[in-house]
Amino acid sequence: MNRRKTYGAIAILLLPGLILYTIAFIYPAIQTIYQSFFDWNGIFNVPLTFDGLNNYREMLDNPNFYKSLKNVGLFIAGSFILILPIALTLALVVTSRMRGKRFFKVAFFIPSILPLTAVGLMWQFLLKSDGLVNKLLDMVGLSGLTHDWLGEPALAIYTVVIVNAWIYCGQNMIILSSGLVSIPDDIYEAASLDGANGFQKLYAITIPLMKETFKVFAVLAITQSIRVFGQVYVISGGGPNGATDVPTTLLYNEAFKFNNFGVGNSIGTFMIVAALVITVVMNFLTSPNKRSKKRGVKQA
Amino acid sequence: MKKTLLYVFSLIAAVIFLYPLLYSFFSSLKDNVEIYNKSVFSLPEIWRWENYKMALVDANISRAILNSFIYAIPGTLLCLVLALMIAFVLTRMPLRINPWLYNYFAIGLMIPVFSLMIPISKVIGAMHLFNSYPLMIVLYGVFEMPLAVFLITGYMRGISKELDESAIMDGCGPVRMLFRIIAPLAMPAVSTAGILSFFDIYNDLVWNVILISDQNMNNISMALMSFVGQQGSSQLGPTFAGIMLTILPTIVVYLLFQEKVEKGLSAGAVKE
Repeated sequence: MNRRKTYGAIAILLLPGLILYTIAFIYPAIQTIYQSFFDWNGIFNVPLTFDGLNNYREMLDNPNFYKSLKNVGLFIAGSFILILPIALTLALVVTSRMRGKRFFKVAFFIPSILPLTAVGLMWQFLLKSDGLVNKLLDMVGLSGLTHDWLGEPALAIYTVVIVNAWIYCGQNMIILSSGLVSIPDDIYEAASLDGANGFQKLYAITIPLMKETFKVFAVLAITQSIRVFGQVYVISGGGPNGATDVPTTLLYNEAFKFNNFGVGNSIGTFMIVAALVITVVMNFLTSPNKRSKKRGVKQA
Repeated sequence: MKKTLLYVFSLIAAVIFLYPLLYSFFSSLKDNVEIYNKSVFSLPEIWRWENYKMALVDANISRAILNSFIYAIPGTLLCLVLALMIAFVLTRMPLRINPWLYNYFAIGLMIPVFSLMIPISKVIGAMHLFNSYPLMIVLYGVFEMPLAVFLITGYMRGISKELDESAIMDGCGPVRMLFRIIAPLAMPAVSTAGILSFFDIYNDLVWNVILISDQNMNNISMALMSFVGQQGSSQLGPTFAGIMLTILPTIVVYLLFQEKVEKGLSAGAVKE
């Protein structure tokens, strides 16, 4: 009887979440994959028509699809080239014994908590031909460098990647600082006694001991880059001419702008498969030290 | 010397991160003539607070902020309650399927929610359920759930089981044990997950775009987008005022719960 009671309790605790999650998350994911083999025009009572692999063919024939993959690559590159070094330096600042580090921490972190839409729109205006960025360039005598930052197809995606870095440096600073503070002080002290300078300490102690944190950073950089949506949707809408499209905006535009729901679903399926494969591969690559990481999480 | 260098770097970085916001704030108090023709460093000639009135009334930003809270607070609570119950089963109940269940919820961490846009809008459209607060709240709650399950389960594993045993001896049932004993102990993880999902829902863009057409139900993102869409650059002052207004609540929440927010927003870091 006691056992039956336990099963009853399990059902009460588990089923609400399990059922809602299955209906609102897993079922739609399966539907995305299933419907990617069908055509649908977006009218709710019009049935789907089977279309075989045509949606995939159409997706692969669209040059913007490859552009969107290249752009995800640029977001990943931006994470390592821009965000990582800047955020690491910021993390060194806010974990140092410097005066005013509390202020700096807040200042660096604030952009990453602001609503993406608000920040995106703000930058859209600041980057216009007559916006703040160009005016500042004019003022310091660099008029030659002024651009229509979001209007020139060759330039637009780099602009968005840089704005993205502006937004997320602070968040990554926090992630990296948690790795920095876990390095015991006495290692640095011993190094100082041996006459190591600041740069040597960074190179020989900080960076090697931050390996686990860097792995986390790498996983995040890649998985978050596949998910970029708001930044692009708000700042450039994927334009000009698809120059800043990423898979998510491509999916959105195909489906809700051009009523190509089938192609939208094939892009969605591509995203699901890519995300699962990447997660499995990343887990495999970072697994040898999994045990020590788990211990660390438990302590936290 | 090294210290000076670090200070200079920090100050430059602080300017780069804060100046665009400060510039937007001053612009929100100017009119177009001032923004376009005066020096970028000039202060507003008159502080035109009426720009804020325009944003609040015409763009209905006040309503949008309220809406964002209407989605975010119940959505977060729903997410946390469901996640607590699931985490309790995963860590405290001797089910043989538990590892499978855990992985089943972990799938939600891997799949980007954007890939679910089309089927969800199709089902909701077919059921004529666009523009429904309860539905949006449930959807938001479920989308935030996988990460909350992950964070809270990880934390609950570390809570000693000796407490459970004595509670069971005293005749305490599982449901009561969860909410009276375990949940309060798991508060650090719960608040981290809560902050994270609150910000996610408050700032949401895509689901409001797809599932809401009634202007009175717009959240901040939608209200701001449509306000700017109508205004364009014709009146930059009120546009910047709208941007400032939607930013303000998040800054207030951040300054109130600084440590928690910092921890929460970097909690994605423990994702494996």
